[in-house]
Amino acid sequence: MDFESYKRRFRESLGRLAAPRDCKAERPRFRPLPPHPYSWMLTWELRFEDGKYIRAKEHYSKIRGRSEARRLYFSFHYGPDPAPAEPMASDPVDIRIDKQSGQPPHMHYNGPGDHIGQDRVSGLALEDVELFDFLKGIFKHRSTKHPIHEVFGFTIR
Amino acid sequence: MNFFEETPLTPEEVERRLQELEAKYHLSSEDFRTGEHAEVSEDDQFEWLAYLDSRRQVQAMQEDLHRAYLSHLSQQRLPDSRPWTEEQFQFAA
Repeated sequence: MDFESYKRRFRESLGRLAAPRDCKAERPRFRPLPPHPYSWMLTWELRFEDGKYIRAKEHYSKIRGRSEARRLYFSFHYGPDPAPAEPMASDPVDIRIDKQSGQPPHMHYNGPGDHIGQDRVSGLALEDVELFDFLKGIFKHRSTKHPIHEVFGFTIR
Repeated sequence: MNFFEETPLTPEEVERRLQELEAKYHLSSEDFRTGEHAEVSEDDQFEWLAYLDSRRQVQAMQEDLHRAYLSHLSQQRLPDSRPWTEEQFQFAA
């Protein structure tokens, strides 16, 4: 994948996404990085009227020797909005699935303290969680009031 | 209406951003990369790692390019070149 195909896919997914009435989204911010067009960052925030928000970030990086990029880092966060303070790792969180460079993905659920690795999570492949699937899951959780783990179909040991 | 905000960065801008982050947290990029730094905000951690990766990728591409150039040079044969003869080494005796 390169930046143009990522943007095209993003635009298509956004077009299919039904926006909840109580949600206001900032414009997604793309920052293409060298080497173009195989490295880029995305940051995107969506806010709800009840003070919760979604913060999504992705970083794609070039695969050496190939004209292709892969997702190196991502963070999909849902919880109380800390604004105007800067978001910190210690902020309260309902759910955050994230992956730091070179490390396996993990999850935080109902609190920032516990790093829950894939070995403790069944029913959800953390590495493969896509941005728009995360958004749809949170929207569904908010509209149905079903617990997040039920909506996403995972259990934690 | 454009739903996206798109800001491409050059290698020079990536270097400038790295310097700004180092100054903001009084921390070298190497120390940031190799340690846990709870004082660095989530957004800055994300950007810092991405900029470091970008720098590494650009360096890797330059190395690959240079290696390919050297390999090309070593395979080239100049039109009037030929194997070395013993006479050509006589001055070194």
